[in-house]
Amino acid sequence: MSLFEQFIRAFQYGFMWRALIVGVSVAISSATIGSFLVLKKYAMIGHGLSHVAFAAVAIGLVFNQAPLFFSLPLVVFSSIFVLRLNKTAKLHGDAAIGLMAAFAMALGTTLVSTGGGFNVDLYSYLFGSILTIRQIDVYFAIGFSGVVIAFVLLYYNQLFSMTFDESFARITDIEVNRLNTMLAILTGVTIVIGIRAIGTLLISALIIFPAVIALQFNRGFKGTIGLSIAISLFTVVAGLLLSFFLDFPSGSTIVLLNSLVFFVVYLTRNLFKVQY
Amino acid sequence: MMDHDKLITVEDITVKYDRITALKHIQFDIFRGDFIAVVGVNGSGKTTLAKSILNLLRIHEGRVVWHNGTKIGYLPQHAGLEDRHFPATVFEVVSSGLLKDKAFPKWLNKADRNIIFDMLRLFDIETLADKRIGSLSGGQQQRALLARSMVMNPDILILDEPTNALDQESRGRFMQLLKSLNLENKLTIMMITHDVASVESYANRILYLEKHLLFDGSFEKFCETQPFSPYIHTHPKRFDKKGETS
Repeated sequence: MSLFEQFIRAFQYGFMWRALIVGVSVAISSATIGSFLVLKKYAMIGHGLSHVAFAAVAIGLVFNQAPLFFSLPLVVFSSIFVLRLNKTAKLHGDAAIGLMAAFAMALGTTLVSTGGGFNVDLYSYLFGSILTIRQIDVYFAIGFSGVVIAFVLLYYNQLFSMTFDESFARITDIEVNRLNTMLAILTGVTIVIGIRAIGTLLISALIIFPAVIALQFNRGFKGTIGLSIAISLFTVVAGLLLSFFLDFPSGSTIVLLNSLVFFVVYLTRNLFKVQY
Repeated sequence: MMDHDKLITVEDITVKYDRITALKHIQFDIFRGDFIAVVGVNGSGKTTLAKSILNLLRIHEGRVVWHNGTKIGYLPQHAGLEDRHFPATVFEVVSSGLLKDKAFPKWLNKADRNIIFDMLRLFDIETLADKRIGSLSGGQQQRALLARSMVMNPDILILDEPTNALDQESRGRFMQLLKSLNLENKLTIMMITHDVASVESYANRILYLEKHLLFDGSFEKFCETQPFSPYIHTHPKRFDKKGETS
């Protein structure tokens, strides 16, 4: 069978379409939210939250419930909690994230071991599996990424102002605390949307990589976010297709593609002084 | 000064960070047309005073009154420029000054773009509109941040050590720009600096802080009455010849 025929064949499967729709939704929302998080130096929040998502999935599996049902409130709550902890400066921000990640990972692993150990189901949640995406996940992804996109479009100017200079944003009556909380909630939501296609342990990469790659290009704020979305879409769609052809886990294929793009851009820029 | 010329009244404020007191019982008025230099050593509460006036901090005692809807512009010490690679163009940065009075969702229209470009022209940075702010020289960056505050059409502008990172020439140019805004546009200015000598020919009032407000008056009177203040002590050479830096 030729490569082209294989490519066409991929789209004859319902699961492939579902994976692509979820993938595109995750790609857009994670790249958009990620751009703000990376520039606000909150990139590691995504990493910490992905571990909480793992614990939530473990709870769901142990109690035989839909893991997403547990993940959403737990991850969103943790996101707001870390943001508050960061703000009160009682613990250093990154240390707080480290504590949360380790605690969630330990809790998740213990729960899983009591429930019979690591199995195929858990493995697919850890690293993403396009075969397991159901119709309900598709609606969920479209709905929530729609919320993320609408939020960023409506509050774009305020988000830019507070990301660049929080003090100045406050004197222009921008409600910085409320927007930070919204950003934390939507970060949690983005992580949860990505659990199925990318996996709990790798979804944070999709928040960080596209934004960091886009920052290598000498663009303004709008241009950087646009580029970040484009890179995210490319790596997610290409990664999903590759994972189908090569039978690799979808999440790790997408993250490896992101790493490849990052190294190419970073090295050509810094070693060969290519100006993008 | 008449009462209606009062823009801001600082009423006996005390500010603490945890148990450390940063400002004690500070009281003064800011009048329209003032060019105030706030001086003092590191840790004397200069930035805390600016942030208190701007309502960015919790004041423990006393209060700050903004009279008749006074509009305040602010040029902070670091203003997002600690990260030289922050992806913001000069246009994008200046546009954030227009957000205060805009209705939700605060999108910019053509008239806003014109206001921004007029301001960029006024500050001679029009050709840099699409450049990243981090790629500009120190003087250009400060003019861009000044433009961001000026599009707000403020009554008073508070600047926190704005000339720190500038070379001698840019510093002079920036101070001249502030003076002309003060004289021609009747813009009230409150500038924090650790270098009293640099504001001699610009400021009509010196506020000397050491947690308390130790002095409020003209530059001449400051040199007369405070020659042995710890602040001047730390810069003895600066005051060998009045106003000339060594």
